[in-house]
Amino acid sequence: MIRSSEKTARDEFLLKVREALGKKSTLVDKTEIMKYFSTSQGELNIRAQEIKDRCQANVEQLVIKLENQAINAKWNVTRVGSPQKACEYVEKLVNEKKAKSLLYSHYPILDKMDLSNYMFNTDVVLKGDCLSDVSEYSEKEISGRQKKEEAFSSDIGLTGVDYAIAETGTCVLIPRHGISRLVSLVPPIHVAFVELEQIIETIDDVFTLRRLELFQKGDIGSYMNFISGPSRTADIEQTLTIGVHGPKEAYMVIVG
Amino acid sequence: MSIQAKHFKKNATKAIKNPQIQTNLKRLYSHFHLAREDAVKATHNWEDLRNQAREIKEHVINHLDYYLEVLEERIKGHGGKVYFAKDANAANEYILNIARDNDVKLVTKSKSMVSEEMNLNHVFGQAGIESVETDLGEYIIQLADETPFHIVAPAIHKSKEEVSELFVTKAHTPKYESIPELTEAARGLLRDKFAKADMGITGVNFAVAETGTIALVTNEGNARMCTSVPRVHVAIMGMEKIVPTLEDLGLFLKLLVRAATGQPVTSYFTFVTGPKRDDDEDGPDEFHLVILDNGRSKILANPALRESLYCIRCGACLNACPVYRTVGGHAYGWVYPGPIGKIITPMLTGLGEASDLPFASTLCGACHEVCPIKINIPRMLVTLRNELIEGKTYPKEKTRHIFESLLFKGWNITMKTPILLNIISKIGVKLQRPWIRKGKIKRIPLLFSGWTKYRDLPPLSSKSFREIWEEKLKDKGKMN
Amino acid sequence: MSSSSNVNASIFITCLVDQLYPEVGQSMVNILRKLGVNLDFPKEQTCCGQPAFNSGYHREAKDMARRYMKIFKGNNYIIVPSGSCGAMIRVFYNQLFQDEPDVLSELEELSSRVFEFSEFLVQILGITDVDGKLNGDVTYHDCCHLRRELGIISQPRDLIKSVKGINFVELNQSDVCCGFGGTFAIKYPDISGAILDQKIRNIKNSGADILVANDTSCLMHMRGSFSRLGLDIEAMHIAEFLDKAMEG
Repeated sequence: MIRSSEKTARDEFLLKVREALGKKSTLVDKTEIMKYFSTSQGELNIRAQEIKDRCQANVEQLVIKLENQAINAKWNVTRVGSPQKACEYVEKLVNEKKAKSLLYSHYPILDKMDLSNYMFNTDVVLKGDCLSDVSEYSEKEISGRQKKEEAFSSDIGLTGVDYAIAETGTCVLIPRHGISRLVSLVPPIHVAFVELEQIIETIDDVFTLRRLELFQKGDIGSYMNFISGPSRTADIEQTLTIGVHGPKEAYMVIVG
Repeated sequence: MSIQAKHFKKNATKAIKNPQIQTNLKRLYSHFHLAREDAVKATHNWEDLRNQAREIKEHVINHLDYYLEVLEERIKGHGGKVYFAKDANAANEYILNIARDNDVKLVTKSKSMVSEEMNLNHVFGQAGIESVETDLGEYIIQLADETPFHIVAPAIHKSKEEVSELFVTKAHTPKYESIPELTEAARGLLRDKFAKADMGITGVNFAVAETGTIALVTNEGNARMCTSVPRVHVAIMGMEKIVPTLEDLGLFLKLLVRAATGQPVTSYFTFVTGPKRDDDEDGPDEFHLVILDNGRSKILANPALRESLYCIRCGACLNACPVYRTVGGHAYGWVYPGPIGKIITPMLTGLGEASDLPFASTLCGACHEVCPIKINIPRMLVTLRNELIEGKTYPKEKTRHIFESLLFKGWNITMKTPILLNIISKIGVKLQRPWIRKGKIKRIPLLFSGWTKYRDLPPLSSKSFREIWEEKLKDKGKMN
Repeated sequence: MSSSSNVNASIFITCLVDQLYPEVGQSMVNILRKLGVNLDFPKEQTCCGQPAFNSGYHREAKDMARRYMKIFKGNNYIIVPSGSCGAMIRVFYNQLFQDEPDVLSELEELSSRVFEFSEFLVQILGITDVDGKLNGDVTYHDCCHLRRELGIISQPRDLIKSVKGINFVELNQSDVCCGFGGTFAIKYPDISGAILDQKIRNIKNSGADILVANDTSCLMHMRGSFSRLGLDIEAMHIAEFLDKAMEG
């Protein structure tokens, strides 16, 4: 329901903007707008294909760049050969950090790793982001409030990525069904598993790919995070400190 | 935030005499300004990027009505709500209504300069709603009941000892000595608030018209908390913060972060497109974008000042400015300090309220040099100075400078009449004699005494160049 | 050194040099004549209007600008011993007359003939070595308008470094303003003084005994502090410096 006062507020607001610009009507200069605000899906397709081809052709170089940039961004970086080795890495980390509870998101790589079937220290609790239709991965039905509590009491959050950007050492996570916003944010340690085909060269590349998705699906989803290392601040005396409200430690495991 | 810009000169002097502020300000040059320079050198096409960004911003601002409507339509299409607030009061009222509708008791807030224009925390306080700043710098100044000292790093004027003291007295923590301990303490203090918040409030670094997305650029993770945990997310933006497409966003993010701190990226770029979708695991049920005018349409209406709306709030001009680096943010008396503040504050709060600000600059041009959008701040400062003197566009806001006006009229007349200039020069040469000590003037009385407070002045030369030319130099050359 | 007997130039002396530092003008004339430039001095000239422009008095500034344009009409190069007055003509006159296209086209022609002194030596006469000799540690301050509005950065440095016997030291934060800013120094003396302090500190730390700059406004500001603090550093305009070097 539009309250009439709100409608007037909007119209008055826009009227003021038009007056300031010297516009007498709501007509738009389409030619000018088209210069900056139109792209054809066909054009995007071509660019997206170029990106995919380029990244596939240079995988090993991109891995090296990703590793170096991720280290600069203060990720702890490892490369393992297989999902099995990735599980071993998690076990090692759990023991090192004496972690008691882990939370993970339903990214394909984590499904491949099948952590819940992997031999674990019995007093480590492993919970997946609740999917009401994928009951074999969930320990129990979790309501929204309980989900928050889970996140705030977990020691490690495990996720895959949607993209990993070599240029800046950045993991791109797109929360959706089976992938929550909190898993990569709330636990003090975040581990991101990257598969080789997910490595993209630049931030600009990712925006092009996502734009194509917009054209294809009409919606790019409610949320997206570019994560470049652990949380940090320099607010006190301009001195860099790692670990503020987001994870204090960030691990990037390249699988493949 | 009350407007203290009238007291700029007094507050500037206070800041100059404050040793803690002076110590902390010195870090700006090395930590931010030079870091920015390194990042720029490492970006091979920096000039191209600046030019592109400026072109895009000019286009958006010149078609702002169109882009605002597109942004609104896209956000509404995803189930979000958009409110066009003509001023701070309207914005505050709207947000309070949402809070009441949702029975909000606790708000977690990440950094938003626009919300400072609105005095939003104060408004919440009056309504009995707890609103906690979660950006560490903002949290510190909230505890101190102060205003931001810098656009990007609000608490850089505080020493760690001062922060430690604040945590003890206001947040009842033990006394911590080191910065890591203080940061860990802040993490602990705010964690509980994040977990329990009913509403999250953020600013907007960029709003993408094409997708209805708002982009947040942070390092701490607090904006992610504010947009992931609470049921309601309210984002507040100045109406000028729009970019056309997602791909444009890549360009602006590159410029913003490098110009602000010299980093290639911040820890987090967060992109919010409406409330959660039906099958999302988590996220707010409600998303509101509050778009603020609050005087920006006045700037928009003036073609000579319009480019100040291209600002992306990186703070580079502050770090480059010799005046800001000397007096710090509080002296400017309102939300926006530094060179960009000298334009926005007078335009948004009234030229009369802030008539000192456009003049408090040497016009050195460092701000223009570092601005990622190539905003010509010195040019606009001169435009504002002219407004304050001659009142062409805002006649009601003209200021009176009777003596100075006579002085410049006199200067003009003298300079149009070389004979008169020679006479005055001769008189000056004679009159100055009693004031000359060891070839210098050590003290000028009255109005120009400001000069001799800190420096000596050279005396007028007994013979001017034009006299020497006539007498000696003219005929030595081959041509008259 | 090239002979330039076909180069005709008019001197735009500027108020400060005319009334306070005529020796800078003399040095400039010495050097240009040694290099074979034919000089004249349009004696009706006075102020370019910058103080009025910067202070917001644009009616008065326009008056002075129009007068300036009339006086310097012609074909000669116009040489000015100042970056800020040079910028006034080449850059800020355009802002002053932005609503008058006829004047703007006249200004385009005028601007093409205006050169700051060191810029003229290097770009028009092709001189980067004045064949000079001087002893001392020398440092250089970038005057703001010279550097940022006119883009003159390497020319003065090249000329200074060409002088044999000197040790050139790059000044830390050389491109940071000295704090003068015209009426700013009088209206905001505390801020101006504090900015100047930082500049003086950098100059002291450079270990130089000679400071060179291209604007007498900045030099006046910094010299004023040197003498107040009793510092044994000589502040010279680039014309004075090169003239002295060419003598010895």
